[in-house]
Amino acid sequence: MIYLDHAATSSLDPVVREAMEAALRQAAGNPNSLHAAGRAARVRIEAARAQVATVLQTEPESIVFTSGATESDNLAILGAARAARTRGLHVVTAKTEHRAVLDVVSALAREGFSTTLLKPDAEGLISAAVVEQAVRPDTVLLSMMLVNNETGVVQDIEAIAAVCHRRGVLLHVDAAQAVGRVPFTAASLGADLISLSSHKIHGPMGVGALYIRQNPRPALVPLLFGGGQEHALRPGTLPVHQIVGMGMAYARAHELADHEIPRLAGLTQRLWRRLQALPAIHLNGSIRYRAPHILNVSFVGVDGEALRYALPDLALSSGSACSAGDPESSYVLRALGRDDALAQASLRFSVGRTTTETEIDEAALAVVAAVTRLRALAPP
Amino acid sequence: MTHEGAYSAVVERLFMETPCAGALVGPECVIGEAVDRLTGTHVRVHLQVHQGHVAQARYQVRGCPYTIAALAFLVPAWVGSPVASLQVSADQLHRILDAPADRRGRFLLIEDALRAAVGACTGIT
Repeated sequence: MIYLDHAATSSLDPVVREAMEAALRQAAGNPNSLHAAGRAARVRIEAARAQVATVLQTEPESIVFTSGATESDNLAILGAARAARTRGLHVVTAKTEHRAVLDVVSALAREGFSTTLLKPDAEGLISAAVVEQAVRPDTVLLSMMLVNNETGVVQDIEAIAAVCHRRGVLLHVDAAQAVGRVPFTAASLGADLISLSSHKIHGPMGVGALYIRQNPRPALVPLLFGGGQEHALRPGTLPVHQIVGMGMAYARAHELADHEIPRLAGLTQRLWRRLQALPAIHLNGSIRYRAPHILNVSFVGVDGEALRYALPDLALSSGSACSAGDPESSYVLRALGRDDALAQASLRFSVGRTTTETEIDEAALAVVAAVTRLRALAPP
Repeated sequence: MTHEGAYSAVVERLFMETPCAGALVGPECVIGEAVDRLTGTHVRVHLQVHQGHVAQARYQVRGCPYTIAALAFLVPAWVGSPVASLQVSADQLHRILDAPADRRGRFLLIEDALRAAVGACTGIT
């Protein structure tokens, strides 16, 4: 099996695993307890917080640990919008956002907020000018991802942030796919809130973080109640070993970025070159503004389900989400203008630290063979 | 509910082997075709008819694994049969392929293509 689904989740880095195992071997201690074991756990938590903060080049106080990027998105969007509802009831996001954002914005709509979903251009990009037009006097929050999880398209968040700041709108950025792949800092993005994942960059599942700008600090209404942990924004006993793992994963991503980013870009470029042996294929999303680890390709003239079935030895994602009945084509690809059939006949390849050139070559051969066979079966 | 990856061994074998896939061209050959624009499924059935019987049969298909497997199961069995006796049973296909209920439309599409081919046989002896 060749694993090309690192945008979905990535294998645990052995160094991260060691750090987590060491944390698990420590005596039990609640980081909120004042005894020695509790204080030791607190030290490990704060060390991990500093590791995450270092990647964003920000102060550790700005990092709040959560259960993952989805919870971070919920806390950022619901928390900020609810806190600002006396100022306005309008929230802006994009049609191409992750469900963890779109479904939360839908929840806000049910609470009485009005929402605007921005349509990207054919390359998946949303310009600052489009944002400028969408922002209204009653807009309180804009949520925009840095790297799209399906296409890998990188938005110009810096320009969008400038609009938001000028118009007094809070900016939330889901950066779950960006850490270790696209160089950025909290200051360079200019965002007020940034959602962070752990398991997308070879850290453990079940833990994530939300960056909250400190000056000025946006008001957030917590989603959970029951303790004062994490500045009372995210109560509950902190999972020490998972947070240690996330901290180490961020330290590793930071340490390896200069080597890994060009290597990942080389792998996806290699794959794209080899896939171009096939006629009638389309790269989804901008070729210029893209993260190095994701390649999304549509194959004309084949059925998407048959294509996936013809590739049993490749672990990758497709341009469809199989729910009840026939697979529903990707709303992200449809937002880019792909029709249903082409959106379904799409594959997302996402590479990671363990991916090799040999695997890329084998995967490309398998895809070319499968598409060629299915096209040969089809009526002209 | 459809869960990709839960295909039966029969579907897997037929999908991989696709016996009788291809096209037929000649004076005794007819084509029947059916398309579902919603799913992008396209079925084309080719029959070569001699003295009211199927001398050869082929198919071309763009469709899901169940549609491909259904044609790979049905079409080889048509050879030697009287044209008038050809039929597609969606119930039988569901049973043999262990296909989910939502694939019925794909199987009915095969039936439409076969009917069109049989209808085109008029005048061929």
